[in-house]
Amino acid sequence: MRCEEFRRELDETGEITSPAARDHLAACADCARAVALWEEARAALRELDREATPPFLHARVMAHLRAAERERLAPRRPWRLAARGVAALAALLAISFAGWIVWRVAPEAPVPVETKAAPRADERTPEPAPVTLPPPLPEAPPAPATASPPRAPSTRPAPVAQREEAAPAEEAIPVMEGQAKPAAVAEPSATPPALGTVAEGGAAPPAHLSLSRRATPERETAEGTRAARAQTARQPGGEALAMAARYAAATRSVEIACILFADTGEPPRSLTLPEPLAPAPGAEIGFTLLPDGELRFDEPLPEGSEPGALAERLRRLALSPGDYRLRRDG
Amino acid sequence: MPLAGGDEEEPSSRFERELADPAPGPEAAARGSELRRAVTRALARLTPEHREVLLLCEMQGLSYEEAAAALGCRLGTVRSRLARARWALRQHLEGIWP
Repeated sequence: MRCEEFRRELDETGEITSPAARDHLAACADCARAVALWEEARAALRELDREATPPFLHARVMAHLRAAERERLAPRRPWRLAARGVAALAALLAISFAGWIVWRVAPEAPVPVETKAAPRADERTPEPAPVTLPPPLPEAPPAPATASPPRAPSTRPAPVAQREEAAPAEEAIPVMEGQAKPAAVAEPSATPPALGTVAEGGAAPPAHLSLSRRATPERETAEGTRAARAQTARQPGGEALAMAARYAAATRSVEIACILFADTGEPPRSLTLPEPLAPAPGAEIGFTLLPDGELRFDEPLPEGSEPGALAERLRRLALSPGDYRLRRDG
Repeated sequence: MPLAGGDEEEPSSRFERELADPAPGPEAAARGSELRRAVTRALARLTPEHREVLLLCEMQGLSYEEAAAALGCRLGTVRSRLARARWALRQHLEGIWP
């Protein structure tokens, strides 16, 4: 074996195993020196591997990594907490605002009143009007023996099922929520449709949108119908009164833009007044403000107005004494 | 106390053998340190492919098959690359190591 072949075998296998190589190793000093150097180098490589991994290196590296991770996360934690707090606050505000919007807008819808005399949908106008309840009728016939006795005033509406419990025959009256004209509903002189016409004319509405009432022969008379309507309207806990109260509250909260003209030469002033205090559309309210602060209306205000409240509101404007005229803007 | 085996050994020789420190002496330790430094320099001169296959097979003691799996190459490639790495390391060492 020549030295080149011996060195090639040494490089390929890393050790001398073949008999020919052992014979060459015993005879060649250069190759023996090369093998010795390689054995020392291999031992040094293994020493390097042991030196490269000193004891506790893994623990120290992991501790360093954990510390670095804590340091990396530490400055971000307050921001994350702050972001979560802001998100929660925003959600709370959004929910509160949505609730306020629902509470604010819902009463402004036209107030439906559920009575037998409710006009049909095609006869109604979308404009809402305050509900005036008809006076109780003295000639109201007594309730049938099977009907439940009149209930004491209550703030809670009677359950539909409770009203239906003694009814031998039922008829469903639809509640046109958001479309009924309350004034027409409560007007006693309006000719009510015959009993059962609504239910017979079309499909019965859902249970939660209907009121059931007895359809006895006695109530098929005009007096019976009026009495039943009055009884329904008089119920303090009935839906009609509840809706009327909500409508009145919504009306009071409406602000009307008005213009105040002064005969003293001052420019007109714009102001807003609550609906009950504002003049009627097309009408004017004239008044005189005396030097001592007294406010006198030129004419008595229409019935239902609140002259005291209006005078107090006008005094707050710090007007100079003189004659004024107040009317709606536009 | 008789020794097991039957052949008597001189007490002085036995104590010398038992008390002898197997660690290399100062001269051998210095030579070994110098050699490791030379091997480190020779490793630094290798190509990355030769260095990694040499570290896997000679330092870590991986087999050819394990090295091939670790490097993602064929077994023959590991064999040939390792042979060239050994040759290159020896060449560098012979140049810097007396």
